[in-house]
Amino acid sequence: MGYKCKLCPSKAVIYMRQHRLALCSGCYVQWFAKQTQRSISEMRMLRRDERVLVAVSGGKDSLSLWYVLSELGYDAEGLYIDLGISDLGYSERSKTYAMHLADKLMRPLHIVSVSKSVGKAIPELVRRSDRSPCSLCGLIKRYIMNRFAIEGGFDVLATGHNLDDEAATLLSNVLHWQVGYLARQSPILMERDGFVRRIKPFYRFTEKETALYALLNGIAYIEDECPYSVDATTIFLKGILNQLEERMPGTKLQFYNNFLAHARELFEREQAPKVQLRQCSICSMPTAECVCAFCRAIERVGGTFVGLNVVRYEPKQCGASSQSTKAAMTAEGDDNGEQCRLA
Amino acid sequence: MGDNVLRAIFRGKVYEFEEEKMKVRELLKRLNLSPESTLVVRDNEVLTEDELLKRGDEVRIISAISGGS
Ligand SMILES: [Zn+2]
Ligand SMILES: [Zn+2]
Repeated sequence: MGYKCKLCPSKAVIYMRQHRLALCSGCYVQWFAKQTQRSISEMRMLRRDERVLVAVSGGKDSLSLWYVLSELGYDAEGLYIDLGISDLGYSERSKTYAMHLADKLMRPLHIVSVSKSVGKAIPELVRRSDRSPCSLCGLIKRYIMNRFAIEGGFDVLATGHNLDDEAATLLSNVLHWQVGYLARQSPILMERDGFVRRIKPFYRFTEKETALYALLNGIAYIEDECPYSVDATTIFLKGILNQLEERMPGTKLQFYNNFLAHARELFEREQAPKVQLRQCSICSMPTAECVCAFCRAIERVGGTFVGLNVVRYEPKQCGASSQSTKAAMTAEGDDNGEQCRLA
Repeated sequence: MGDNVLRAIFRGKVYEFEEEKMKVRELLKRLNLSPESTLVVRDNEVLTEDELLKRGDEVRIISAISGGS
């Protein structure tokens, strides 16, 4: 019963219909790393001599990304943005997972506090705003990621977006014919004045594949949704795409890959030439207007940007000094290399 | 009584099935979950959809779907 690994005599842990490939746990983690490198090389996302900042949320995708980039030998540091969401200890728990991985990788984690940077945490900003929580929070996070990457001298910013994220976004953009968004939806956005290069090395992996990678490597992550994410549409679209996938294996990958290969450039060509950017009169980051979107949003909800508040978390050495973190983590999930996290 | 059911734990809830045996694929269907977005774990081992489950087994189901990005 069950599939056999295609590469060795062991029992498979996953059968990936879209690749007609069954793999055991050992072969899977190797395959996953190789595929990540393939995406990076093919899209020329990142060179060995470049410094990459990985935006980690505490979820499976971004933590797996930090892990595999380090495995592949890239100079990768983490950025955790503390949103200050105290419901069910959401932000604190997410941060603990990020710090735990920093310890495991022995790499520094930079922690930026939203409330200390703009005067108020996300819940209060959201309460005072008329836009959706995810849209406001997304704007703030993108600004912080880019600004921190620039200030920190990083060449590249990497995020954990996977195939399901990208395919759902593409479907939504197509349903509404968001031509401007379609022109810019890409696993790589090149750097330009004031903007760091942005890459999504996981764009070919499904959510199931990134979750499996985290599980097999003993990477503990936060499983609950952000309590503010009322974005049921994304989950709905992902469900529809998975129904298509069950009937027609490979649909998600083809949908997104063929868009990249044949359609995206057509939308890009249609776009008006890039407007000349100038400096925001408040924060001096690049913008097409007088005041950038971030500063306008912060002003509107009564916040004040005072510069990024950053704490650099240095990983603890293995052994006694990290006892307390270890004990805290064990309660939520096992962290022993090979063992299953949910055992 | 304990060994006479197949137990599936999903999002902190326990689901019990009386069938003698059942494939992972069938279990997911019964719980209305897509095999494209779920992992099933038994005794520290991740199972493919083809795997046969039997009474007395206890599995954990992990949903890989997430909303925001
Ligand atoms: Zn193998
Ligand atoms: Zn500004």
